[in-house]
Amino acid sequence: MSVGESVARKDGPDKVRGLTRYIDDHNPAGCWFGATVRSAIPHGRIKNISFPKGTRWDRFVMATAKAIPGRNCVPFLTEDLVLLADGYVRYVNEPILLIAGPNHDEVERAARAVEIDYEPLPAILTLDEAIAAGTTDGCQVPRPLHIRRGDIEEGFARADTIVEGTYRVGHQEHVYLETNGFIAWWEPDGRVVVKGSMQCPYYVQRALKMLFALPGEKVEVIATPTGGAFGGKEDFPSVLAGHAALLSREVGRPVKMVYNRTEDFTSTTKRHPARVHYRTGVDKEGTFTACSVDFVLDGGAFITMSPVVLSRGVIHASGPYHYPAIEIHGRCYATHTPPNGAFRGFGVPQVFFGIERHVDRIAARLGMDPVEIRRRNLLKPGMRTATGQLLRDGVSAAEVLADAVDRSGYRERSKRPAPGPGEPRRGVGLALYMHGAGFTGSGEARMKSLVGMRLTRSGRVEILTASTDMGQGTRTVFPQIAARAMNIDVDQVFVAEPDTARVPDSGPTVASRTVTIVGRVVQQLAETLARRILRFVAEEQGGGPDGYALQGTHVLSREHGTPVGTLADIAARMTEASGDVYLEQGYTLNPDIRWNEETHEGDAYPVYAWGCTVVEVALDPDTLEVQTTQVTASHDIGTVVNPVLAEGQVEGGVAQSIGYGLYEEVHWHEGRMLNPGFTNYVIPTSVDLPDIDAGFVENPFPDGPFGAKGLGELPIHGAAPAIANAIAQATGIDVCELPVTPERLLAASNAAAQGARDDRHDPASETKKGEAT
Amino acid sequence: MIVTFTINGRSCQIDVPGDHRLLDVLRVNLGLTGTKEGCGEGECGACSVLLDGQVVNACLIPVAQVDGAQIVTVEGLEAAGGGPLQEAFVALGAAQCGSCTPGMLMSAYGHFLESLRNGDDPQDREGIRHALAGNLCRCTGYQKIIDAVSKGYEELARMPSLPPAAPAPQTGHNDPSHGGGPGHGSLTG
Repeated sequence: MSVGESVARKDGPDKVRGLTRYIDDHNPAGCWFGATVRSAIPHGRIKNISFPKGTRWDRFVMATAKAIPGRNCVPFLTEDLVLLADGYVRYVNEPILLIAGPNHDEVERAARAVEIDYEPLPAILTLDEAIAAGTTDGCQVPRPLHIRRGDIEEGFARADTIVEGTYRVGHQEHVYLETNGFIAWWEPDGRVVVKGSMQCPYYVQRALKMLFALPGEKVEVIATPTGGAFGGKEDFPSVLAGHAALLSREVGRPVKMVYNRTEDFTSTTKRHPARVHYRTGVDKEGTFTACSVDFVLDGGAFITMSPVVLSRGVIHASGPYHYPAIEIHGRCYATHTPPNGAFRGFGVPQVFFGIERHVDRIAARLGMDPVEIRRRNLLKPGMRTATGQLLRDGVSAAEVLADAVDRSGYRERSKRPAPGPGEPRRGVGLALYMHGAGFTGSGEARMKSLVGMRLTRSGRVEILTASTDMGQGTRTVFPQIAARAMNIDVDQVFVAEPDTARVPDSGPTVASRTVTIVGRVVQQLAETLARRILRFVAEEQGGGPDGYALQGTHVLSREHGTPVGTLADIAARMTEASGDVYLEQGYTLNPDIRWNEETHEGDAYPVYAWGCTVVEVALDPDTLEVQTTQVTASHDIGTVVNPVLAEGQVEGGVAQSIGYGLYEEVHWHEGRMLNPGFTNYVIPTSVDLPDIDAGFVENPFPDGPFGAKGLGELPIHGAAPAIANAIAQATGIDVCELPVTPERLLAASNAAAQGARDDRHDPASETKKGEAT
Repeated sequence: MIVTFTINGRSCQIDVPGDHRLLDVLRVNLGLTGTKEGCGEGECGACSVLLDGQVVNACLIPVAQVDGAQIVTVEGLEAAGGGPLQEAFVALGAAQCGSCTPGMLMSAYGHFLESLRNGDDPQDREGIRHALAGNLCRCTGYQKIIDAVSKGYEELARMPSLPPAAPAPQTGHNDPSHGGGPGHGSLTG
């Protein structure tokens, strides 16, 4: 019974002793170091690259796009991203030239000494500029998406009040503590091997196949223990692996490239900035009658992951609510800034800041309680989502809302007496949300994630999967699932190192899909392996397989309840008799799932996970600094496989969301990040966060392993909007942009004061059906 | 220059330019890769080590500065008496990706030693939060780290004595009013 138990993470003992070897802890003999020469301008043509005197250039090896033997392309959903700029640059810090040498510091100095002349071209640097311009030179964009359901005109006509609002969010950096890094080398047989920090070994393999015009068996990708990722090591590692492999090919030695923090900040992907506009019709009782959503993303200079980030945002833009009529329009613009990419939540935190702020503003306008307006409109079993998906079971919006409200003391806390002069203003806010786990629509049917499972000669069970462990616990929860399915000790099960030469393609470690999708295959394989073992025992010992059972480290006779042998002995005889005991199986998507990619209609996800976060804040009336003082979260992730690991995911997600809400902001000047360090890109420290109460409501998902849904992304949706709602409650200041810095609060406060003065002369605001922006 | 120091209880002598970072000497020259580099600017604490019983960022220390000093890294933490903290980190889920973990453990143990020296209660939760404020973690929200540090301190306080590798307390360690547990009065240093 290891599912549901807080099994200590298997890689824990090594991690606390400093024995875990991350990529920067490897130094192969004869290894050279690589560095990257990058664009100094956001948009333009490269006129000349020169190598000034003062550097012994003959001691280094260099590579440009010309050295790429295959296509100069790092493929994701499209094939627009180049590995190295070839005569034309589209963002500041776009890689142009690679340089390698035997000494790390000398290579860095040499890279800085390279001189590049440009012919600058006009650049589009912000989402607003991109919207105004309509197109961005040299850049492609994904197709716009539209969802329409119900009669919008009729819905708005029947509304008693219409509330509008525009909500904005900027970039967010992942800040995994381990920066991006790779080591690459070429084997004498023409194989390229790369190892590094990543989420998706087979994405990296696909990129290297295209870059070097090699078949899959000539490209080996090994994922080292990964020191945090959060989506930031979904897409970018394919680029860095390509750089290291290209340099290694030129040098003829292993090449190591590990970014320092500044380079990681300035040159890798971030969360997409977004603007989302909501227009919601509501009747007198507070029931939504119609909603119109316009969602706009800044994709940066290349498409990379933007089509699916946009799609996920659009699908989740209706939130956990029911609307008789809704239209959602999503567009992604390009800017001459670094490509934005995958980041925990994947387009959804952007829309949830909008929805959950907007719902509170509707409540305020109607004089309704924020809990009551949500309760009145939330999705229930039997209802349809904006995509027309009929929700059957596993719908827990009402439960998580009630649980978080009760445990947090939300009601009592919202009725605090007004503070005295100089005392902190306290407020409490909440956000309700959901997240669809796994790929959208029929994506999992196309992916068919393969998992392997081997019974070793010594009676241990090895799980072979491309799912990496970046801290979330893959190496612990997969064994728990297999152990439960086989009824054996969790110590009997282990996960193989993700190496494309050994493990099948179980898909990328993304989209909260590891437990609920790949874990489901682990469960099924384990059940098959258990049956196979018992069949073997029955053949050996007589009787049918049903006469035997696995337990712990043994096989028992059911009749006598006594052991008939150890798993180790039986495994040895099985391998003796039939060779390698290895099974492989793919994921089968529930065939009832119907999805139309063109119209975005149908079953967007097999199931949703649900959450509610309540945050209390204290605001200093003089400095306008905000401190979170209490966080209570409630999540339905189906069956909780490992409570301690699951709580850790929630607490970490809440922390990142608090950072998004209050502190984290990328400052730009002419396309260049101005704050690429921890001094001025501020993430929460231990003194910035309160204790976080992470609770669960378990509403099992029949198609997940032992009822588990997805978890990783869900908890990042709540705290940021809840903080803004709490600030509004405490101060009356309506903040519609993140992060809520003191500067932004002051501006919003001044704007509100100005608006109040204007309103006194504006008869429209008195009408019953006025529109508030 | 020739630099001589004690690393995890063993004496060590190396010949390196004195301006090399202690972090690189540990990781590259001595192969002690448990100490991590998170930023190289003294902002993230991933490279925290104990230098004569004080927590320092190894990325900010020129190796010339450690001549004659005693250094403890995560590889030597157990021998230096910090094993209960390591066990608590595993048991309570305080390590996720593990990149901040070595530095976090060294800061936590440094805070414990400093609390003993100053006669403070190491268990004060706000005190723990402040002691770890220089160690960034992006995975945990710090909740499980603080819980584990607190549990580790409990275990440490129960131990009859700390191993010799732990620097001797200087003041206030006999004051029972600080309630840190029976370990206070019996340190051997």
